[in-house]
Amino acid sequence: MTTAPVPNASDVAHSPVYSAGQVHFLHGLMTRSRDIDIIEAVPATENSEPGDPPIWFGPTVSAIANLNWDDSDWKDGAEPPHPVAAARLLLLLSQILGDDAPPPSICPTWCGGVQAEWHPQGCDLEIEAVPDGSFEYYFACADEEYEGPLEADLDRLKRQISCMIALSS
Amino acid sequence: MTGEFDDPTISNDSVVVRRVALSEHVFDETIGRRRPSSQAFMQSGRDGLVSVYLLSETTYETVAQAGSQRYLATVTVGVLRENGLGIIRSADAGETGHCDITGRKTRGRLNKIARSAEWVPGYAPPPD
Repeated sequence: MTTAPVPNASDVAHSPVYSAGQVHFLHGLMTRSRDIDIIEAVPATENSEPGDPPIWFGPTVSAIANLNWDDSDWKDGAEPPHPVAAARLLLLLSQILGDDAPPPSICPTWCGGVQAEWHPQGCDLEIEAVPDGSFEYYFACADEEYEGPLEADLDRLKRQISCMIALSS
Repeated sequence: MTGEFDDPTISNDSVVVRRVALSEHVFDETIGRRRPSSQAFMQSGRDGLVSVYLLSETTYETVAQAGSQRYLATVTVGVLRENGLGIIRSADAGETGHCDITGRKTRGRLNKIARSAEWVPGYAPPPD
C-alpha cells in the first residue's frame, strides 16, 4: 500500500498537480497579496478537463479568500489567519479529496491556523492547518473517534473522508 | 468538576453568552441548521481561557458592544458540565458577569457544546 506524505509549504510551488493559475493563487496567499480575480478562473488539475475543476475547489478558495485577513483583532487575543496555513490546507485537500467531494466550511483558528470542516449526518471531520507547519484533525462517526496530529500516512484520513462523503450523498 | 475548576454556585440552568467571530459558523447536517464551529468555543489566546458571560448578570447588547463585530450564541452551564468542562467567575476583565470556561477543551467536547448552542436573535448569521 502506498502512502502520500503530508505536504510541506515548499511543495506548493512545485506540485505537478497544480496549474499555473493555482500556483499563482497559492503563491499570493503565501505572500499575503490577495488575488481575488483568480477565483473567477479556478483552474483544473491535470486529472480534470479544462473548465471542470473539483467541486470543492472554487467554494473553498472563495471561503478562504473571504476570511478576515487584515483584522488582527478579529477575536480577543487570537492571531489572524496565516496565509501559509491556508495554502498548506489547500494543498492537503487537493491530495485527499476526490473531485466530487463536498466543499468544507472554512474557519480560522485561534493560533492563526485555518480549518476545513464537514458535519454530515451523525459525523464530524475537522482538519486544521497550523502555522507551524503541522496539521491537526478530528474525526467522529458512529463508534470511531480520533483527535490528534495528522500522520504522514494519509490512508486512514482518506478512508474517513470516503465514509463522510457517502453519508453526505 | 469542583473547586477552583468549577464554581458550584453557578447552577446548571444558568445561561452563558459567547461571542462568535464572523467566520466561526458551520452548517451541521445532524441538526439541520447553522451552528457555531467548535473553534468558537476554543481558547482565544495562549492563556487558554474561553470567555463567556452569565446572561442573568448582563445583556446581549452589553456583550455585543464589548467586542468588535460578532455574532452571539448561548449555551447552558449544564451542557458545559455534561461535556466535562467547568465555569469560574473572572473578575479580572472588569466586565459584569464575565466567566471563563475551564477544563480540557477537546474537539469532541467542543463540537457537542457547539451543537447545543443557540443563536441570539439579532446576532445570528444570515440564513442559508
